[in-house]
Amino acid sequence: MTLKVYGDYVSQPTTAVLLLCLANKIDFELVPVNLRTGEHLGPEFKAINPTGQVPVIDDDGFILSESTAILRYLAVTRNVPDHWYPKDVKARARIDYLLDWYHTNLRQIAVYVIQKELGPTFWKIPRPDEAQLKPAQGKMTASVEILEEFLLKPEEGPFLLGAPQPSIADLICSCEYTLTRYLPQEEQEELLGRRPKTKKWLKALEKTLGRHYSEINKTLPELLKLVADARSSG
Amino acid sequence: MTLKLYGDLLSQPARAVVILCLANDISYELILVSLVKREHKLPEFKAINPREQLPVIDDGGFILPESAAILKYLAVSHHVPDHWYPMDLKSRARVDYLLDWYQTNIRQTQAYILKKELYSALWKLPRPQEAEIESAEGTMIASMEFVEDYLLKPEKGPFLLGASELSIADVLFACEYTQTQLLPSAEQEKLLGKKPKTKKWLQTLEQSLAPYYAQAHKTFPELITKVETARNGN
Repeated sequence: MTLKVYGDYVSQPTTAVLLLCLANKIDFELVPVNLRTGEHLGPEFKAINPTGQVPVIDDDGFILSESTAILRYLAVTRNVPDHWYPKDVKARARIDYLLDWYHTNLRQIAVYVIQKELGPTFWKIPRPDEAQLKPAQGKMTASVEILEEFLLKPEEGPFLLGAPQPSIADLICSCEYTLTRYLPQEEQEELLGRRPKTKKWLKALEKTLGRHYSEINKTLPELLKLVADARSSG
Repeated sequence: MTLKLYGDLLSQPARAVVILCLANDISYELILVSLVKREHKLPEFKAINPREQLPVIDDGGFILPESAAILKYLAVSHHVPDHWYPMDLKSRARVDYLLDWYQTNIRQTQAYILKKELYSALWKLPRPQEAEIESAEGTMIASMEFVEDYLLKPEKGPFLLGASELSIADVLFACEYTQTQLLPSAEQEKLLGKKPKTKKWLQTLEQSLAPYYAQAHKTFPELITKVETARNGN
């Protein structure tokens, strides 16, 4: 039976899972769960994942949620090339470390962008004031800084922790950066303008993943427009 | 070379790592990085982990932060009994799922307690904004309800997801629950009083891990006293 991926292109952990599948020719069927209409909170989807979170996979009856657990599971069950999630115990521990770090750090990009832009645009949540945005903004900025300063080592290799080829951690971290494109231009510049290593890393990934990258971001221009329109109309 | 563990038994992820080591005869040297004295902010420690977080291990020069990554690495590299972190791909994916879910859910328990109690009790730091405390509190309460309603299946087995034996996820979760002992007793009662499955699971776990559980928690009563004194003095 074909692998089912429940998700939505607007969810960046979903896109990370799709990227791994596309880049490795893992057959899958995307079962759309529309986050904008709140489908993830309906009884039908909650029967599959009671937390209402996407992505979820159904691998012939084996249901698994949490994007990073899904990425690990697909990498080991589909025998993808070793660099995605290395077998060597220490190399794997480094990827596990990055994935754990991602959850409590870089994931704050989503928290911030949802509070500031996606919530008001898609779910009519009132625009928060500066004070409300401050905690997530602070954590996001600190994480983006750590990635630039400590996690990228271009002198060793183009990917996270200086690896010569990308891992599942590169996928999940880079998809999070895609979200920054929903922010006003000057804020994007503030986040990435002075971070040359990060920019280079994102470019290297985009180049490596080529058309798969365009595939998962195909609805992005339309969504960016909705968010920009909502912002300018206050 | 003996495994070095940089940590403080006041921190719940450090205790989880210590329990895994004790229960499996993994010899280690605990290098105390005192959280009370804010030694994690000192340059000596920042040279080991620039992110200033505990625990970190040094395994013959291999430095690894992030408690969940450390638990996985030690389980695999020391060939501990299979139930701690199963080899079977689906069973392992379930443990990975629990550990990933933990990061953005149960771990908010510590965020809440840190902000509500420890900032002022230990370091005389100003109390963070109410909204920040409330947001962590909300996630903590919802997470604990999710553990009770969905992650414990005593009809199948006593441990998380109805496993018959404990895994590294049980230990990491349980150490987080211990942290609730720092809250006023009325609040503890509100959190756990009506959660019979959770209480039973924690009891079984403590019994299975005696005396290691007690050993890892030996300095914890001091912290409880310190927090209570600060609370009563205010």
